[in-house]
Amino acid sequence: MGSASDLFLPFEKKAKLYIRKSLPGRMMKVTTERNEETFKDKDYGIRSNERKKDDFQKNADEILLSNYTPAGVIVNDQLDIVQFRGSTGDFLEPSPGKASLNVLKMAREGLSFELRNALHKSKINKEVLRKEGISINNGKRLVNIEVIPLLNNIDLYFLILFSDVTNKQKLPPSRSKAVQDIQKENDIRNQQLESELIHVREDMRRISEDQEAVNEELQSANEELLSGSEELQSLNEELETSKEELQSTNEELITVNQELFDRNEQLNQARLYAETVVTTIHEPLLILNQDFRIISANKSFYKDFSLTEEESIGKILFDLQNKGWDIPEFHSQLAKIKTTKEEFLEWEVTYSFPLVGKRTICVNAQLLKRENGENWILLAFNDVSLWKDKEGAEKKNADDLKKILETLPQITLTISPDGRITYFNRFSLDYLGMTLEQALNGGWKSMIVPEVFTQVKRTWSNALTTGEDFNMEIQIKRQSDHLYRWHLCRASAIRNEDGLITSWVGAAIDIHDHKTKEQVKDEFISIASHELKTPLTTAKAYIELVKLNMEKTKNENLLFVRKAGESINRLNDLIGELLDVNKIKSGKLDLRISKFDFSEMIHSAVEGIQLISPRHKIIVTGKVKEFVTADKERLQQVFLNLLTNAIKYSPDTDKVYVNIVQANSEVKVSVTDSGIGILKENIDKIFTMYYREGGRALQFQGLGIGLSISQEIIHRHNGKIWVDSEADKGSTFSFTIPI
Amino acid sequence: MKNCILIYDDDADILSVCRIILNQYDYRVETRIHNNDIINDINQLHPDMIFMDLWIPELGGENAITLMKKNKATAHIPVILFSANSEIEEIHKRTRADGFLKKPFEISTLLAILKDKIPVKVEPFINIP
Repeated sequence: MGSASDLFLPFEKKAKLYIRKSLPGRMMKVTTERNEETFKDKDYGIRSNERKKDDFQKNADEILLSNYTPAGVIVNDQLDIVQFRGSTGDFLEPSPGKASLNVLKMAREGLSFELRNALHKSKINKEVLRKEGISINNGKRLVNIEVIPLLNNIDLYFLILFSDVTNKQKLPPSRSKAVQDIQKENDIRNQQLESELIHVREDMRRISEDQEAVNEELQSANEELLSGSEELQSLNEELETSKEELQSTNEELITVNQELFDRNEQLNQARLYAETVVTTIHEPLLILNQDFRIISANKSFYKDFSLTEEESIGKILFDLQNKGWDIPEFHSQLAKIKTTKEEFLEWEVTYSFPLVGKRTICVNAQLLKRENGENWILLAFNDVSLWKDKEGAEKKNADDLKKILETLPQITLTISPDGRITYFNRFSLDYLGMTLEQALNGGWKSMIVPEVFTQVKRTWSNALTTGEDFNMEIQIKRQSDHLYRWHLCRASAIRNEDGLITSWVGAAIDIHDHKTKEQVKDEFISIASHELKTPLTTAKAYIELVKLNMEKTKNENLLFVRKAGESINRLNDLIGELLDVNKIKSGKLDLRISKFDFSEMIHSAVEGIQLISPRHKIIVTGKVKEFVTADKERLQQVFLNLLTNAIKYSPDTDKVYVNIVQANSEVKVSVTDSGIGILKENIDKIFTMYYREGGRALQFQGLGIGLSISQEIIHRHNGKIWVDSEADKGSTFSFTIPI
Repeated sequence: MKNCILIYDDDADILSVCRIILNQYDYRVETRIHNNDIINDINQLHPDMIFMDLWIPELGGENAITLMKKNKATAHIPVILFSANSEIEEIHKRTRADGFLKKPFEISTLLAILKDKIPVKVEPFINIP
């Protein structure tokens, strides 16, 4: 390529192929305006030939142009000649040495310098520059030059026009050779030289300035190079660092590789583990591909649905067992999961499966994403048939129970474990005169007699916390007549197998009539006993009076009066017992607790009885040293009851034994007789209210209430009372009370 | 001068027998079948002891006792609650009664109360030689 490298671009380096550079404006046409004499029609022929077809006017222009155009060249930015115009032989010649089109190299001696200056100025100022009277070829010729920059182009071009003025200038001096003329000529010449010198200096100065500017540019370029070098250095360092990083990354990669290997190992183990789990799991598991073909299934699946591996693997699920599995809902459900990718849980279907019969199956489905983008479906089955049956039965039981509750002719309700009422039966709502919603929203509260409401609440919350039965008599308003009627209210906890309370059932029985009757009866007995006692008091007082008088006069009828007195006392005791029974029945038997000498109480009672019944010898053994805190009068009543019974039921003997013992923080009293005893079959009934042993015992007086009163009194003391007896041999009645 | 015993009871028979008994033991006995005028009665009779039935019209025994014990002029007179009520002992504790006598009663108990509660003024009849 050589020096023409600026015209070509490397195309294929190895093959040394190049393509031409496209250089715009290189072949541009230029018209000039001067120097017609030096014109040589070198190019004319070609041009005229080309323009043959044009009209005459254009032809005339062209002739003028070619004949009268001054000689010139067009140079580019690099000052290489791109076009010769006219005959330039007088001004330019090829320079010796390497071929070059550089205009400065080609310019004839003396012209080069001026051309350079002119081109330089023109380039800077972008204006036409003219120089006149330049002598070339050792002053043989004078030449004018004009440099015109061609500005309307992308690249910068200059038109350089030459004109030879030798003849015009030199003719006058050659014609007159006078000294004066020579002198004048020399002056002119000196003047001319001086002005040239000034021009040259000016040019020198410009060039030197340019040189300096170029120098500065070079300097800055140098600095740029220097900083570039520094950048390169830092880049190098960075490269070094990168290298180190690469090295450590490499090491990391090795570690990661090892980890991957380990993970792979773990994965394998996990897979084995998972496979074992799947095979041993109770629930049938199934994996389908996208076409619902069975990929794999576990043992439970084969077992539960009576299938084998050969029958199943690779088959479409719905085609199993002669399309026995073609369950429409299941089909649509699976189609859905395929299209929407929505997994489902706890989906239930009841279906008669081939061989195994009707089953309710609970299905979970999950998508398994495969590496190849395919989705497999994992199905887990759970046979809930048994559970369903049980649930159904339970529901039926509950429904039946509800029906029973609904028809019960008494207030019935259910309560949640936290104490909220959840249900009232129809009777309740009719009685309360409200709807279920009203009643459940607390409407029932207004129906309870207000005075006891807080007490009811307290008792109920106590039952809730302890889980014990709630038992209370409450007055509840009947809406029909606004009467607060007495109800016996009861609530019991219902517990599950674990003993946890699942709900409460409450019922209220209308005891109003009974209760009012009872009240009337209580009042009646209370008044009756009082009224009975009034004449008794008079009678007793008179008898006493008579007795005292007779004792003084030693009257023979004294015995009869005494008997009458005893009967009156007996009558008084019976009335007392009747009152006690009444009190026990209405729960009003209150104890009057005090601290007393137990032994003394026993002995004084024995003394009293001994006076009335002197025939039986009462033998007391044992002792209670400590004082006892209890109801002295009531305990004495019990003891007297046992003692009088012992005497009464042993008419043919003359001894009764009493034993008192204090042991283990309790006091024990035993009364033993050798009387008729109690038949074995009647022992359990002996403490029952109004019970009287039939047959042999009927000869003895009594209401059949003494022992039951005694039992009540002992129970109120948190004690025990019992009997050991053998018919015809006697009985031992004992009681204990804690101290 | 004989001690005066004032007995309130709505039963005439009881009043009679009590009068007979107490007369024998040389007490002066005054009886009333209601206690509506208790303060008047006391001011008029100046009794040494009062026996008060529990269930007596119109005030009832408990109210009458409260009334006379509030009155400075009558508060010093011993009052004995006199009733067939089995709770008499309890009732006697909650009123300001000085004692109680349960119906039916033994004459000895009655005499013991009289002897116990009335300051000695006259020796009882039986102790006169």
